Amino acid sequence: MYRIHCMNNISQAGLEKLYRTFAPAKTLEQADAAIVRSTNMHDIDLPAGLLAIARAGTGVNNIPLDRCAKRGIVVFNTPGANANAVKELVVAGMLMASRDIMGSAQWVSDHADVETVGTDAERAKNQFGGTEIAGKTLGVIGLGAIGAMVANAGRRLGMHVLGFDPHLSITAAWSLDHHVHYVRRLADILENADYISIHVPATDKTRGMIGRDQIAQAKDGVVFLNFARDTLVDEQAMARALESGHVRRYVTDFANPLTTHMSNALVFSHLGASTREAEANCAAMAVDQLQEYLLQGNVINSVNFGEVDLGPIQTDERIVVLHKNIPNMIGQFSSIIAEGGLNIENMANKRRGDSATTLIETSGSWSDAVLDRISSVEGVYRTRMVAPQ
Amino acid sequence: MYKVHCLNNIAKVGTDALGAGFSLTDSIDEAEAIMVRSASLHGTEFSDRLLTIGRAGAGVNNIPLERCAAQGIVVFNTPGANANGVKEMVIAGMLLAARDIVGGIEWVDENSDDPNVGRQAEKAKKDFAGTELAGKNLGVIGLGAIGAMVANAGRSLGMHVYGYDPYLSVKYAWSLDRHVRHINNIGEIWSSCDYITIHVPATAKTKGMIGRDEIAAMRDGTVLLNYARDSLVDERALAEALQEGHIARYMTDFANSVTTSMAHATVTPHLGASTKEAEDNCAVMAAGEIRDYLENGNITNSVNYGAVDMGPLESAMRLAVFHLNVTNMIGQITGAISAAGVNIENMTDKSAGNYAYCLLDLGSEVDEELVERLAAIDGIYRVRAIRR
Repeated sequence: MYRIHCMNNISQAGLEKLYRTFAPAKTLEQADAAIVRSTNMHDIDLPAGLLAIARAGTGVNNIPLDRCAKRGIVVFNTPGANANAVKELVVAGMLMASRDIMGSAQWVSDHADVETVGTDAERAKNQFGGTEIAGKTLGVIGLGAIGAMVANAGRRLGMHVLGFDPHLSITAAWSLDHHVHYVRRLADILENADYISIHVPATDKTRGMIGRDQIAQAKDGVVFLNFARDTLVDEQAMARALESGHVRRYVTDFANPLTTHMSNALVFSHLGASTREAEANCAAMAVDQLQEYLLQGNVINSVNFGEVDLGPIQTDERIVVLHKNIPNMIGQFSSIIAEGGLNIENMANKRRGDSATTLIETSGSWSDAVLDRISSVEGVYRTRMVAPQ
Repeated sequence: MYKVHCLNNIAKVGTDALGAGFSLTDSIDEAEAIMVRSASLHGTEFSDRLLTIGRAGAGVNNIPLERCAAQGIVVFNTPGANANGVKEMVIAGMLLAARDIVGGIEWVDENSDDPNVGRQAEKAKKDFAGTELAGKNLGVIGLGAIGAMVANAGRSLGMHVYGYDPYLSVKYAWSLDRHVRHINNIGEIWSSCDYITIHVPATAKTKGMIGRDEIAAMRDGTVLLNYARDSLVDERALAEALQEGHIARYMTDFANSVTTSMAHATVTPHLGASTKEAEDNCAVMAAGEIRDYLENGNITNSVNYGAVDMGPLESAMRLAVFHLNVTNMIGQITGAISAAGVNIENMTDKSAGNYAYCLLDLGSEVDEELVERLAAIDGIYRVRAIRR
């Protein structure tokens, strides 16, 4: 039985699910796989026996992905498990940016002991009035699990919704309300939207994608919402645009020395995924993915290896090869297998960035010699044999 | 040309909506119509010229309805024009009740000078975590313009919605998402729902409708939202239930000495309808009602006269006759018109309390003399001749 180490507390529902299939490991050294939430793993030694790390959540900044890849450790995350939690926070953010509900509740608190607070409120409330979101235009940048839900929520709240995502997946496209208007240029969002919500992963490519020019291009009085990552926005430029009034409000889930001193910013304490439901969903999804990988070799929602899903094992065993994404790897594997007298029944290979996953099923039994030869191919990080339970 | 006097700032889209045939006047005594928001008219004498008052908003506490009715002044309000404004407030209220977003913002504020605020937030945030709306049960009491929108919004946020309204109208039944469960026994709302929101008018019947027993019948951890009127809830009983933790949170738009000292209550200063769009909608709607009344004699959304709608004026002329709600008035009115040899093409008469309003389409024009003869009939206190 595989043993799992939980680096952080995971939800009760997740734990119950986990220990139906796996055994607990007290330390990382004893573990075949780890489940982590926010613990920083950059400075932690990765034991040789560790096969996988599942992040119960989306962001993987706390995990050294490259180092894990080279050690043959598959890192998973759980995109979409927290999507509804983030969506609801985006809706709250839009409403709070539109009307000063917080300021008004504070006003009532400050006047709690005034006997005429009710009638006084009728005069005071003018300063807290605002606008509605129905009829306004919402631009959603990035239509993954979260962005698609946000776009649909916008539609159902009576907004006009523009969606931008150059890498739109079939799943997301399928789930989108067909009144979401798909635009091909980021500029279409910037020039037309009253509310702009960003839902793209933080990568080198997306760093600062909402920069000085993009902010300048946005409509006067625009509200920006950032529940993705603070690095996506040039926050120095945002601070100036808020100061000048060009941007009405910046609603962000990321507190840092810049955002906490911005005028007209609403800074949340990274609450996007902090709901009981999201934690339970993330944990359940992490457990499912570890189960698929450890027991079947299937790689689903990995952030450092290609995703391959051959379904349940069809033959006596399945070989998982984690390797560098360089030419002629498959060729070498097939020759070695052929030379070992085995016939390949099923095989799948998928790359992601610099690394790749290959799953191989053959008729006939593998010998240690064949497996060793594959393991010693230059660029192979790890080979592993899994057999049906 | 009708003259309109605006008390309070009335949104320009509203005065524009009056259209040709109307002009604004600074003199209240010259006006046939008054547009008003919250300014009190209780101490105001109305001239004989004044025909109607349009309140851009729902509440009419600032207008002497009975005195207006007695003078034949039709008062309108604009129910539903603020419905979306209130609906969005209810959604915000549910989300703020479900997660301590505000507590998190305050934490960030208190730690704004900590250079490691981001990392610290990761540790602190569990104090502000909460739950989601999707999958929870929402009970909506009262399915009028606002309640129906709230019910539909709940559905679109993935909630299971239970709706209760013994007076549900066809119009709102039509607009309801068909997955909203129509509940006949209000007890089912108390026992089934995680969130309960009230959208009924405040009347003698509905006063305290959420009382001690109703609160006790609710689920532990229920969130109660009140963006209708504070008098609907027995707030003293509620304060105890909040203190004990039986009710998790009270989101109310009504500040008073009880709500401001409640535990676990978020009190806003009557912001439900305070949006630019709601103000615009109210002004446009009030303008439309005034216009239809002055040009056609039709009454829609009056708070002191019954609804009368005979469509646009297409006959030779229309007479509007205000009369006391006593016997044989219609007989005398129609008798006088017939005696003048004029055919009555359409007629509607609607009473409201002591007063009544009779609208008649005539087959040919009548002269002032007949109008005066009608006005002289005992019990008739105003006659308007509306010509095309």
